[in-house]
Amino acid sequence: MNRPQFQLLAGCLLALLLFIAGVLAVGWPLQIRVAAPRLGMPVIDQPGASMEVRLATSLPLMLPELQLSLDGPGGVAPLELTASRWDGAVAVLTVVLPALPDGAYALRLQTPTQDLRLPKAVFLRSSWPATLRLVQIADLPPPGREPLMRQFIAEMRVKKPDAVLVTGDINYEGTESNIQFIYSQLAQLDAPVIMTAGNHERTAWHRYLRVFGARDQRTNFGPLAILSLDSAHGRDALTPSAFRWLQQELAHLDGRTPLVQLHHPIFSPGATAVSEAGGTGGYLHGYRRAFIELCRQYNVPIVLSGHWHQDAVYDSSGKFRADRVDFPGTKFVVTTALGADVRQVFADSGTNNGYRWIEFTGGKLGAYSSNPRNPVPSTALGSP
Amino acid sequence: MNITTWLFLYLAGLVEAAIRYRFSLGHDGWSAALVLLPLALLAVPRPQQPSVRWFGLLITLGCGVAFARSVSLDFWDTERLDLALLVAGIGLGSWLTVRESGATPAWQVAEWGVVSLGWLLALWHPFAPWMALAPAAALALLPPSAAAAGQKVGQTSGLSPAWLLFWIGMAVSKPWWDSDTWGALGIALWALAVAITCLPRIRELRLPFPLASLALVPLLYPWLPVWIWAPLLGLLSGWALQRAARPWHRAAGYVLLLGLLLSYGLHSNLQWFGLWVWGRT
Repeated sequence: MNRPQFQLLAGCLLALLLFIAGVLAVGWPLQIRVAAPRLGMPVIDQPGASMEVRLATSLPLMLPELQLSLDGPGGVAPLELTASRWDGAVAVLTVVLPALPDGAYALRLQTPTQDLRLPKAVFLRSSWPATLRLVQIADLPPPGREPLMRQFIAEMRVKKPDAVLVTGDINYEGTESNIQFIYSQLAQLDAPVIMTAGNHERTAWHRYLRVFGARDQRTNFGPLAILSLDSAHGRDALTPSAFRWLQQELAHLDGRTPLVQLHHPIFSPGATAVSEAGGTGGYLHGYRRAFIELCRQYNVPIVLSGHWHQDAVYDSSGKFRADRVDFPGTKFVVTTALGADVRQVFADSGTNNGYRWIEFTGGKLGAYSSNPRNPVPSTALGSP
Repeated sequence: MNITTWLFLYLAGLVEAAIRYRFSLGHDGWSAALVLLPLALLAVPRPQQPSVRWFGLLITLGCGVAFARSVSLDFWDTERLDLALLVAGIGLGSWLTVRESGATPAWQVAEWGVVSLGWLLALWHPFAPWMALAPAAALALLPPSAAAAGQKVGQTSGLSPAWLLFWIGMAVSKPWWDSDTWGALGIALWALAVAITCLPRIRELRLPFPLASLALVPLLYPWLPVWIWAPLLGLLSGWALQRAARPWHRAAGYVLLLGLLLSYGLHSNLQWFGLWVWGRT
């Protein structure tokens, strides 16, 4: 070996040693972070079913010794690990849900150096009612409007929906105190919270990732498959990967009825719509036609959005409709902001309550009005 | 470490991280000023004393580990001044280690290999490209430069480095706008292919210019799966980088930055026709 070759070998060895030393210095002692399930992306299933726990680790491809359990009003039970694999740098553990009474449970993970508890991460349900009742909210209260959030939580504790869908703009001004407030309020709900990100989450993206972290995700909910998409990365669009993910999930519904939620509305708002900010807000640009075609192909009954701070309903051709089920095809629904004063969204309706009440019976969409007794005519908005 | 390694580890890592965490000049105030400070160094002559470069290596290593530990299993709070100071330290320290003259081809293989490994590790830790700056700097401290190895180094004519870096900046970052995973994997495969073009026999290959030009057009848009698109782009970039005119003006790095930012602008905010996947809009 001549001198340059020796130098090259020594240099490469030094670089490799520095790499290894750097990785160890960053990740030691070995720790974990639970990516899922957690509040915002829970698992809802029956005892005996399999559940995946996704863990990020501080050292690549290394997992500490750990114990998993469920902890809740029905008791505490260890989770039996049946399989583990790596999905890139994320450890995916498959466990069996224990025989505990129905209800909300915290996922607990104990390692030699950590004791993690994630409330409302797992919901056990051994049976499903004939009619599933969901509530959808979007654009949550900013600082200064906390009473609206408390009022909503109080209402939900009375109305007891089966799940609450949160369609983005959770932390309106990006502050730590606001996201902690929203988290503490949502954690009081007895129902699972299923979430997707909005454009305002990007104001303090690290906070959203740390507290909720939900992006593209599928939640099996009895007869429903709830598909939550992240459209709000500054591009008002689905990315190619997100679109492919949606295609794959819709192709593997296992007999479930799909429900899609994403922050951005699909269609243009039209000239007569006026949002809180004085503009209409954006709508989905990239993949719009393909997305609508996919909804038609897989008979998606409803697509839920937020972003505009006002209600609207469209059919597949982009025509305004009243929020009723008596027109064919997918209902493309925009829901007003929870975080605003009760507003008069339409000229002939002063009854908006800031959220939508959605009912599925036997997997079929039954209602989705913000006011089920008096469906709101979207046609009041004019032509798109 | 030569300037291209610095550009594709520190500068590209900075743009990727800034966009991933929505770094904002208005919102992040002094933190933004600190993080952007090392970019001003592109226009400043580098001190070449070995002691300064060793000092730079220590700063890079210390700041890199401290920053990566702070955000390990967590996320970059772009408002925090201490984190911004560490990022500035990584940029400044690694810039001090950059060598003025080019490395021999064998060392270029190793340097691009470090770039590739750094971005591959970004699948585990989003700031691994910055952690890779220390090994890259160590490589720069040991080897003989091309001049010291007796190779001819001087003014050479060839492709414009500015246009080349602009084009690479526009093209190489495209998978970032799809997903974090594809972005890191894409640039890792791209750098690996660039390293391969530095290998002895492959280095001598010549693509006919019209063919290379035709190949560049579709590669500007990532219509192929990233594991095919990125290596193809890397091979073309590698051959082109070797045929670029020397020496580079120090500020050539700014055009890479311009390419990266314009790529982001085209894909994110402006929604120009043709930049979405064709047939999908």
